[in-house]
Amino acid sequence: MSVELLSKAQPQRYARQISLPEIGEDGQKKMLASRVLLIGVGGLGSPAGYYLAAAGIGTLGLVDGDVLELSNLQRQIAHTTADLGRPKVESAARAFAALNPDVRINAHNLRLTAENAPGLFKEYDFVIDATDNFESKFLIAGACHAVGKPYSHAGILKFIGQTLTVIPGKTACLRCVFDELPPGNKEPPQGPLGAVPGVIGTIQATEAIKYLLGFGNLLTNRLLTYDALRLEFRSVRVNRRSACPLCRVV
Amino acid sequence: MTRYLAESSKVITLTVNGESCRTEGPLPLQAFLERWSAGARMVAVVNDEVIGRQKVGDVVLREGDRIELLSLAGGG
Repeated sequence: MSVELLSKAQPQRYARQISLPEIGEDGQKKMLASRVLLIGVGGLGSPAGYYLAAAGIGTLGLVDGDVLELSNLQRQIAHTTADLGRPKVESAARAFAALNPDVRINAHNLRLTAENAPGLFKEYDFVIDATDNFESKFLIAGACHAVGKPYSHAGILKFIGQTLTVIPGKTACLRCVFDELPPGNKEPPQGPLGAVPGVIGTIQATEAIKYLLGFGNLLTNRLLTYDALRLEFRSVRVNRRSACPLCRVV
Repeated sequence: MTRYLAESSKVITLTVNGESCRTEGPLPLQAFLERWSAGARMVAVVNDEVIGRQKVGDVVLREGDRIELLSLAGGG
């Protein structure tokens, strides 16, 4: 792999992160050989995808079954007004490829289901949950657990964002913290302010890179909450729970 | 207020979402959650332990306990 891989991939492009001892040339090669699956290319997935592409993650999988609507553009910055009515994975794939042609992008214009998730997840090294609903978040947690795939969970509400990194079987998972689906909400969605998922999606990209290269402390066993109104970050310790429907810690 | 306290009750200090809070105690977690109007979306973490919904009735809050109330954010 590797000298070639790096020379082909324009070393100058990555010079600034290669200069970090935690990354270096070896880390860059690892990134170029890594595969990350992004579920959702909206408010969270746009910034996460941009930063992963910019960093030179070799393969980015994009999963989203939606087409772009005008009300998305206030926060979903991978798309443009010209993309309205088109599948989001297409415009996101174009945006990320334009930023960094080294990155191979697999665009999956489909809705994630319990049937297709495990097969997809197996093809990647790390999964980013950038979805916008409870059901998908639980589905991703379950499928990642089933195939032993690490993932970054995140969710947004108005001015609040939260995120947790999970190594299935080793660290607290989404279901250790939230064991039941919250009751359905029939009110029209409020928010978020677009920059809030921008902050959290960027953290998800950082976590993916840290996991893939094995440096720093991951956001495991800690649920990070970002409150943009108070401008506060809080990290709440969470441990694996013996009654977790996925982990069943003995 | 004092006259309502049972003989064994006293004022205890809890840390709720990082902020200090004084209340009478020991206080059952269930009563605490009702007082805080913590709806069905809320999950309590007491001294770093996630309290599943079925376990809420087993927990009593005492002096110095740390409580975090979390709710799952569903958007993205």
